[in-house]
Amino acid sequence: MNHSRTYAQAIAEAGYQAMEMDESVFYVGQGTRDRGYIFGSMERIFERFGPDRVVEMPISENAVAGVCVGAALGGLRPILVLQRADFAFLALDQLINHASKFHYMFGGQTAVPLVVRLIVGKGWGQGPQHSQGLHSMFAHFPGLRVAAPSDPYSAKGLLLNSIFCDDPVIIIEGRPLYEITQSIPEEPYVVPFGRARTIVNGEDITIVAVSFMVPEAEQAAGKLAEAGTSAEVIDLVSVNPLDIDTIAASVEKTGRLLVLDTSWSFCGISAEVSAQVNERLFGRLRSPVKRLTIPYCPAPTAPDLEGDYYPTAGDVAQCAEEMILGAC
Amino acid sequence: MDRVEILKRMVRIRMVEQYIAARYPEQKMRCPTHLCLGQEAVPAVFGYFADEADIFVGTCRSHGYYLAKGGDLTALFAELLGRPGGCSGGFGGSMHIIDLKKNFWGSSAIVAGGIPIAAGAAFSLKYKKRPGVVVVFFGDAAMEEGVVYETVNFALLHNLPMMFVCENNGLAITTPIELRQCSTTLYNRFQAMGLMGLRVEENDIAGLIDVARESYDFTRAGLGPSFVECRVSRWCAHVGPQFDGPADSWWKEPVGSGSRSCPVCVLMDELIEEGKTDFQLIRDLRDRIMEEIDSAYRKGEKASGRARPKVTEFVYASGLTSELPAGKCPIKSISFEHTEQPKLVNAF
Repeated sequence: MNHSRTYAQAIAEAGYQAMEMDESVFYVGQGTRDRGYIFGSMERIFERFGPDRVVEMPISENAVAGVCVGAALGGLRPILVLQRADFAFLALDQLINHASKFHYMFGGQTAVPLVVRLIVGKGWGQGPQHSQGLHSMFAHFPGLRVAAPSDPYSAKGLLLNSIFCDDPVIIIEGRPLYEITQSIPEEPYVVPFGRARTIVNGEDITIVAVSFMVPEAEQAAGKLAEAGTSAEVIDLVSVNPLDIDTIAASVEKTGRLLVLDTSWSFCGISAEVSAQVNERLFGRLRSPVKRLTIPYCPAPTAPDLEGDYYPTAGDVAQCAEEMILGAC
Repeated sequence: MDRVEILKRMVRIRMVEQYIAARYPEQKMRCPTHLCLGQEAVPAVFGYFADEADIFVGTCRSHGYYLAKGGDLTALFAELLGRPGGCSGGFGGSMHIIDLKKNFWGSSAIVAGGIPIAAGAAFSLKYKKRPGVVVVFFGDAAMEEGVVYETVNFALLHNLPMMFVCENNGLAITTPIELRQCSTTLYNRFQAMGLMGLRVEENDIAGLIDVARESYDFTRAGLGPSFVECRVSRWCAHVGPQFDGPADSWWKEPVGSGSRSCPVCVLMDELIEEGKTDFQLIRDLRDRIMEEIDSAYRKGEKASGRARPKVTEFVYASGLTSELPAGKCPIKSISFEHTEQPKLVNAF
């Protein structure tokens, strides 16, 4: 049976069902029992499972991440949620030096089944410290899985997949996606890592997007279609591992690749996608790979500056048109 | 309480470390190796009082804690020798050793890195209502890391069964504590937070036994975390088997193995004086331990364990698709319909 769920409700449902299915699953975060329930993504969970399994955290990101690592070594399945991804920088020692390494450095004897949900803000002056997309940085490190769902179906399935995975997983959630509504299965289900999603089929150009750039790409494809251009839109969904097969197959067909990211292009996932496509399809591209991302500066706060900062569907469509016309 | 047994444990740790120091120049043990020579008393005493269910978490200088918790000696040597049969399969080396069967839950080479993990281990014991306490060992330099204060707060807030054991040797690599901390007294640092702190001076073995027992008793009684500062002396270089060296002793006179009072000798003299042991027994003990060490090293050299793994093995513990624990309990469909929608103050 399907029912209608927002992105936030899909996340809440996944957490609720996971905790219902397995007593070793527990939540830790700040504001888990506030009336806002972390923007709705933890609705009903505290009332159902109480303070032993929904742990309110001190504002000590590194210690709490370490507690989660230790608890995971002890057979629990912690879900750590940070309302703004930027605070994950304070927990990097535990996430990078410890969580991502423990399985490897003890020769496969230990596992750290830990999920870290990071919410990325956008707009309303979130500014330089409340809006950073950290998926590329986390994807750099072996031992971590990194996912960035853009729709309720993937959000629920990926969270369940992450909770019952024995590796540490970073889930990047876009705050602008929280109100997106979709019909999704009521039952628990998993969406595997490493699978991109082709959401629009097309022939002329491949547009790869991640997180809250996916709705922009979808809208851009609509604009392009009106102008007679057929764009294929791929939602990356999983950042590590990267589903390069799906992307390369599409680019082989269209001959053109435009990569969109919510974060910077320099050393980011858009660079990685571009490099891997070039490694596979050099000589078969009809135009150079193009990347459209936020400019290389921190996020500003004034509304007009923010307008200049975030690429829109119109920018995406224009860039795609220019690539097809050979103007860029 | 059997102080002869504690002496035996100290001698064993001392002899293993000396053996490693002696053979290290052969360059078969090719990993940064931090020896605990001079610091044998703390692992031996805390190991003596530990139950099987208790969990130890260590640092980069963990041979003593590992052995004190019953860690396998052959597997330790095999690990130092980079053999697949090593305690970490040859992936960890001296700084990352583990023996899960003995509840030695590993060691981190990041200063203070193991401390919050130990709190998490204690959290898991409490969550699952399992017996045991977690003992986390660290040095004075860890007290300069913010995560210690964060973890003490968490451990007190959740009344975790956890013991913080700080071995204060006054050195961070080579930098003396006076250059690093505003106060060199550590045991009472968390007093304002409500953490019981005890302190014992160097080579006061009777005092160490008392504070270790008090700390175990307190935490085992469910009274929450406890903290012990143990003053100790590190005899050798921060890393490697040298006993002195220009880089390691720029700030004071070179330290030699004979130039300090020795915790092993202190306890041995006490016990001989009391008639609890004698030189002959000690010599026999030494011979037996040397036999054990030699044999373990030889086995370690050959410890192939499983076949040599691929270098990229063990990056991930599981595949891309997880299995749901279906059937364990009924899945309830959650209704959001009647949830009162809070006014969104922060809509972003």
